[in-house]
Amino acid sequence: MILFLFESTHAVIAAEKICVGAQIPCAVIPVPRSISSQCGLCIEAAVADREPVAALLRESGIIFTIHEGYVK
Amino acid sequence: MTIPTIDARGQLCPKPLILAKKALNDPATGPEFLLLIDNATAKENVERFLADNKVPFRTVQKGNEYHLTVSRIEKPVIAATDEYCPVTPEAARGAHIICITGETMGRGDEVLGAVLMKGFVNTIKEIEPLPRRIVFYNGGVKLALDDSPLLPALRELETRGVELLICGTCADFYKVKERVAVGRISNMYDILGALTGASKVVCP
Repeated sequence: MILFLFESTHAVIAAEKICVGAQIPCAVIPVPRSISSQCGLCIEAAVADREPVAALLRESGIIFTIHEGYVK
Repeated sequence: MTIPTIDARGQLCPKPLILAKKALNDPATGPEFLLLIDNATAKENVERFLADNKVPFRTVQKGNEYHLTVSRIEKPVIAATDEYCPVTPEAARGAHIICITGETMGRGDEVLGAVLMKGFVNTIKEIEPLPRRIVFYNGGVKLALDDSPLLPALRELETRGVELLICGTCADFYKVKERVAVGRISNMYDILGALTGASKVVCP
């Protein structure tokens, strides 16, 4: 699985809506403590959906970073 | 020649499986070992695990016991044991209950509350001990419907032994009874019994 991290909660909400709209399975989860100690949500998706999700987010002008190999 | 014996009698899944995996991965075990199991489910799970990993074995039943003679293979055994023992042992589940009373977490903005609830439910499975039960009522039942993005997380919890109680009155009120895709439709007696019997109730 991979994580999409965003700059704000509004961006997480928008990104989740986009994934659901495109019928791409994704899960809203807290940002793992190994990445950040701050309270925040991010989106977990399958590795295979990396490019489709990234493309949709870029199209919508949502800024994100991708994390791999994280520990929850 | 006597071969090393691993006695997993009296042990429930996943213990026999863990012991078998350890022996398989330990070169000190020797070319063969004998695994004693007295629980039919544990035996079946171990057999499935061995077969999937192409480990040669033969099983002899002696009364209530199963004696598995297992040959060690050089290739390390990597398959995850939890796939073969999906039911979490009782000890890994707490005595607490989570009570989901709506589609949102906390009060305030609805959109924020909805995304918080998703984060909350998706995290339940990461925190041990797992709850004994999760009760869904009023708007909370909508999280258990066929189009809920939380279905994978809820199904995993159910597989791991967490009981999901869905308020039947509520599902009926929202006219979604046929769309409940996870858990068990229950009534006020079950729900109140669950809440009363819990060591603590967690309400997001």
